[in-house]
Amino acid sequence: MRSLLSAPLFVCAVTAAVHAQAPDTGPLVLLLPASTRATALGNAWVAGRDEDVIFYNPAQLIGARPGANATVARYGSSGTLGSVAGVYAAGPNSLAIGWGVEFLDFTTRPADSYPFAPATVATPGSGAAFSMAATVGSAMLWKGFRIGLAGKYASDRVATSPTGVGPVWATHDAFLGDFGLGHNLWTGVAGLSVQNIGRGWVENGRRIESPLQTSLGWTVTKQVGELDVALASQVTLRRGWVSPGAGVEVGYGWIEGYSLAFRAGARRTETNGEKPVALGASFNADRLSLEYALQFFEGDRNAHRVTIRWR
Amino acid sequence: MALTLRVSRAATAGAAIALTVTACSQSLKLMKDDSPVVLAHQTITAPNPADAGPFKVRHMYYGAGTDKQRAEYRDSVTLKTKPVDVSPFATVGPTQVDDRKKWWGFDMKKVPINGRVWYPEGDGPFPLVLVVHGNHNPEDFSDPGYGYLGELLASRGFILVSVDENFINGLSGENDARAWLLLKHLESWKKFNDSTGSPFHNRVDMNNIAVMGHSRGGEAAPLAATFNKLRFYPDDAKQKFNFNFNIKSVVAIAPVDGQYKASSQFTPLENVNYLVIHGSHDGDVSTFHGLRQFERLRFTDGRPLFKAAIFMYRANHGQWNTVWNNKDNGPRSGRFLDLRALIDPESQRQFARVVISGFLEATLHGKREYVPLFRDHRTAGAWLPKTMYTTRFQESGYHALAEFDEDIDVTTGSARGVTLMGDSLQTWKENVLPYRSRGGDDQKHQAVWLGWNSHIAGKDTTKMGRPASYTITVPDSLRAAWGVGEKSAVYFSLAATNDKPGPRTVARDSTRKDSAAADSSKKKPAAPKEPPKPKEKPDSTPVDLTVELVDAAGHVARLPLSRFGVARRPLDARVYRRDGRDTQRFNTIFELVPQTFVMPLADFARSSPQFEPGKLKTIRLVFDRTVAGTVVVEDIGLSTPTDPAFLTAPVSPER
Repeated sequence: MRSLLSAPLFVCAVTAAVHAQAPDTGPLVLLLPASTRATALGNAWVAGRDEDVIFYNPAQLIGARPGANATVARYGSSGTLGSVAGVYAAGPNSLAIGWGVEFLDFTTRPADSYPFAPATVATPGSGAAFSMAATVGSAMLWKGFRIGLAGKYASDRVATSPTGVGPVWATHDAFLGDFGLGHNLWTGVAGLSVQNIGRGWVENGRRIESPLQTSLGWTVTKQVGELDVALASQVTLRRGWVSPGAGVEVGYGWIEGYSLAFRAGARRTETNGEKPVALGASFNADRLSLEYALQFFEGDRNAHRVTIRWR
Repeated sequence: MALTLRVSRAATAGAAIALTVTACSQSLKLMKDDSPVVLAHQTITAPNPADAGPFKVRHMYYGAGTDKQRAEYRDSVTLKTKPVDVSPFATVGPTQVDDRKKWWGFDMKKVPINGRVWYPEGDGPFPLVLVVHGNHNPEDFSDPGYGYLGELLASRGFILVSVDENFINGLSGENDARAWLLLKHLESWKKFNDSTGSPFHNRVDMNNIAVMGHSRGGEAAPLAATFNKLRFYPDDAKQKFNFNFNIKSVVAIAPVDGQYKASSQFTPLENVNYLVIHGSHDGDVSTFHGLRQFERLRFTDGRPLFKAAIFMYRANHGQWNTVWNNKDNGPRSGRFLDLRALIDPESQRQFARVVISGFLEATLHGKREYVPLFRDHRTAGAWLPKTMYTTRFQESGYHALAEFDEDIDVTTGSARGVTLMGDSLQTWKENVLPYRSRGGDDQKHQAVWLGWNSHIAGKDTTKMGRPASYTITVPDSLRAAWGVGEKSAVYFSLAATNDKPGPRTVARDSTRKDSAAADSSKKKPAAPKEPPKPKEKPDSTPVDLTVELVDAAGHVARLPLSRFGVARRPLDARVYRRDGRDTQRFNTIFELVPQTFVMPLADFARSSPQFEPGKLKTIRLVFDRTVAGTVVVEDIGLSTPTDPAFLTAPVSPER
């Protein structure tokens, strides 16, 4: 129990002390936590297992219970994110297929320059902007290792002329790939993923890189008396910028099929505009889960995120 | 205002969650307990076998003396034993090999022969009883959980050994290993008894041995009795067996069956006494698997052996073991299982004390006064905890008239010349006895379904037809060959079901002119629509019928079935906490366990002096005491018991 708690406390301490800007990369939606559960667990989901893991590590699609989910997140009063994801167990060699789509509607201020930082989504502005990513992935088991590949199309669209007859949209597209590994390690699961492999693009003579990142993480779940305690931890390296993250989930089920869980996590965020700590909860009733996460931003702005999951 | 609104929203949300939480849990539903009536008798006059006996109880451990996890088998062993190689019978998966060896300190090639012993102080020789636990968390050691039996049995002059097989828990397909290890323990006991330096030298009665097992151990115990007589391991003849112990009795507690199949066959068993007990609310082995082993046991050597199966209402899987208790579904059983439905642990164990001690007294100590307890549990009403029981019984004098397995002709019995005939029955079919579990598992044994309704269809609801009946004809040759006479008894096992056929239709008189039929184009006037009938609640009254015996001269003797036991309706057992989970996981929420009725011919002769038992010609079940119903009948037979004790201490209203 002590070891389960020590990791996120350590991450809290580190992230509170160290803040440096993450490199400028895009599209924006790829920089945001992509799962309600993961949001509340320090965005440490490279060794996680549910439909949303398609956004973190395609290898971990194996073992995710077949199902689908839909998410709505509201960032302050200006940004809205919607996402859907699903996973399907396809058969031999534990073949699993997953898919996910994220769509982010937000506003920008004239002072915001492209590529945008994640905190932009919670800050009201006057310029319309969209960001989206569609991912399809698959995983197979080989000699005890889960191996996954995913391909995605990601795009930012920014209105460059918000006044006059109508906006002129600047579109930034990228076709990217993910590679992932997963393996049972000690009593938990270890995951490694390399995400957003691909070329960026040139914007006003400046090269915008894709958020190529390597994540290594470990999750474990233990029964502690009547409670289910889970720890998720991860370190992400994105073009020289290091972001550790971890979270703890404490669940309790009072009758078969029904449970409640509470979560808290911390991570090193891209900018000071995002607070490192996030909280969450979930209610599970048989095949239905309702997830909630609360993320904090600078200026007393919050993001509320809700997922409904059906398995 | 805003605050009020928030509070009100929170209260609504809280109420919604509370409703969701409580709505999914079902209310406690138990069958009406008939024990005040059924257990009102006590016809066995011997002392209660669950009472402590005269011997002072002593304890000891034996084992390898090197155990890493078990201090008692490392530091406290009185007698040292050599580890054995169980690897031909138990396979550890490649992912577990290292972890297991690291934790236990040994692998399957060097498993210890560890046992905890309760034994009587005295010279003996005392019968030897081995008990082995089943599958459970290997780190939550199961062998201490039978101490309540150890204390009792040792005080009554038995040596009880609780065998440590925790190190093979968590494997699969290893019940042959459990059985083989039991026999290796018996080899150790032979050495203890034969060695002059041993504290047990000549104090163990190696001619009176019983093996007991719980859960997977309950399959291992009869398997040990079978392996005991084999020269080779059936799955690999390179493994030689040379045991040949005098195993007289086998006890199975909530056993599994068929997890291990020697040569892909269910374990055959011969010529031992057998007792199996099982609980209706077993949250682990939820089907009464031991009934299959009960059916497979054959008596061929003429000795006065018997087998009994007792189904205990509200008993679970784990409370037979004080370590396991009410955790049938693991440490969080309370989330899954309706623990409120369980009988209290002490009552469940008291039942185990009565029947296990009574069985061992009867079969190893020769105290035959306890035998009637297994024929008819009503004979020990004062000893048994107040709940409901269903008993199966058969002894070595039994001969089958009809077991319904031999062919698909419903008019032929199992023995040559036996004929079966139904009259005025709405249901008459033979089929395999089902288990309540899903997945097509069944009792691997056939029975006949007999349904009747004495009401005649029509507006006159008081009009009754001739009682339906089912007749078994006994040929003269069989009667002579089996020595049927005044000391004989009719046997059958019967379970009432909840099915009730509709009123009987009268056969149509085709000689009468029917004008409507003559001109089918004429439309009949539409009958007024009857309002839909409310759904009938299942009848909980026990079924009764008349057993009618006819001799060759036509003399008839009749007695009600209820004289010999209760033909109870199915005992619904809701094992799970979630509403609807039982119906989802089981075909039915009851286990169909027929009750055996043993009906001495002498009782019929007393009721009708002209009736001559030695000339029994016909056995007839007459459905005249319950207006409508369906029963399942199996194992109809006759017995001239090899031991008069089998028919003693009857529960008869006029006695």
